[in-house]
Amino acid sequence: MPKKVKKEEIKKASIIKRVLAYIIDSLIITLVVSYPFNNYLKSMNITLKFTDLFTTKLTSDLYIIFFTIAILSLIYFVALEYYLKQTIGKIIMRIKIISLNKEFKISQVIIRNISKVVDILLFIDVIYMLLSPEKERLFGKLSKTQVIIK
Amino acid sequence: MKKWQFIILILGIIFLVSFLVSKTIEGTESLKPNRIAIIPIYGSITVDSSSDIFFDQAASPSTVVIEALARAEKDPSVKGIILEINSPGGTVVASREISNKIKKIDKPVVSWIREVGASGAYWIATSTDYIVADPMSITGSIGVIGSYLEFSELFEKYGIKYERLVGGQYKDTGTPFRDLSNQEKQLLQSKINMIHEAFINEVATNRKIDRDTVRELSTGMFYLGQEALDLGLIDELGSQDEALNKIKGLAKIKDAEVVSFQRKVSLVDIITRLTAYNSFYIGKGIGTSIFADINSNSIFSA
Repeated sequence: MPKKVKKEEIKKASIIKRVLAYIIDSLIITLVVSYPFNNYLKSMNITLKFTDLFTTKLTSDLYIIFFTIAILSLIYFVALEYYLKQTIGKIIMRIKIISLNKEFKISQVIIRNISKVVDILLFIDVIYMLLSPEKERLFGKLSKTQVIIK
Repeated sequence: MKKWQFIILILGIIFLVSFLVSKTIEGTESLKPNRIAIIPIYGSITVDSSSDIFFDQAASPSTVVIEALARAEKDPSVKGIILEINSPGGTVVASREISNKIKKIDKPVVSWIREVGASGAYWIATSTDYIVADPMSITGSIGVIGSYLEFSELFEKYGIKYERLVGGQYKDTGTPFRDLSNQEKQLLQSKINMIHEAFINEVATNRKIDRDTVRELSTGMFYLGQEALDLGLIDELGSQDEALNKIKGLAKIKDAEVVSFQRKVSLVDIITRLTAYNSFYIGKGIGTSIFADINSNSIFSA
């Protein structure tokens, strides 16, 4: 019989811990995902911003780079959160994600992390989190997941 | 599988994919865009790289322009360079440095003269493969100037004496504190003539115009774009579109992305300059008020 988790045992992770975990994950992603493209972008005298997708006529090489970085970043978050309930940042900050449903589906993890690879969505996410009383990200809420202290 | 083994596996796969994609892009010519670099030459052309980037954006240190040219030269996606010129000229050495760098670049370079491309700026333009200017652009002014203000009579009026102590009779030639002797005037004029002659030779060689014809045009007179075209000093009347069409033709490409190779000003640069200016004006204010105080004691009153 699975042990019932008492409500008072689940403690939500604070915004500071979650932000720090995200910063750590971002640094890892920069090193592992973006760094291989550094030389090429430097030689082309380019700094990429997400808004360039909509405002600048990009060439095919830049589209490939954009989408490669986005997809690999998403894989990092989805793979680690789905199988381990934690990314490296969350392990260091001793927090993890749980599902508010009975099951924990991969679609939930994808939804909660989609804003981390799209700047504009992340901006919306953060504003929502700061304004909401529960201090939850919008996409966290939509995915029916929560970040708690391990 | 243990937790950290899984993490390392995921990171390894991600890095491998990223690395392979980056190498594929670097190795696939058809994926790389064609680009045309636009390098601005605005304002005075000097060798001094401490130009004011905030309050006076109209200055082109030769080191900055040469660095941009070097970057464009090194970048394999850049197939041609346009110099966007809006400058009345500058120092001889700075103009020569930029001109010599352009001549060494193994890519087509086109000059696009906007309001002004005269004197040293025109010198630079002649080093490029093609010159485009507006019919009303000011260009030419093939001449050299070494004039300066001389204060000896003003000093005499106020009883200020210039004490001349030199080792070498020409050491203070050109000082604003005394009049030039005839010999010194001739000496300085001969130097200016040498520079003028070098300018004439450059224009004649670069533009493939007879030297005597260039000498006749080199009175220091400026020419409007239409006049310059008639005299063979420029190649075409037009604007950026004409310059772009020409560079694409020279580079043998159909489409290209236009990219500015202007020096990027960082936030640190701006803050440093603002701080320096604040300090300067504070000092100036203090100095002015002290000077005003001294002045009130009638040292300089007539």
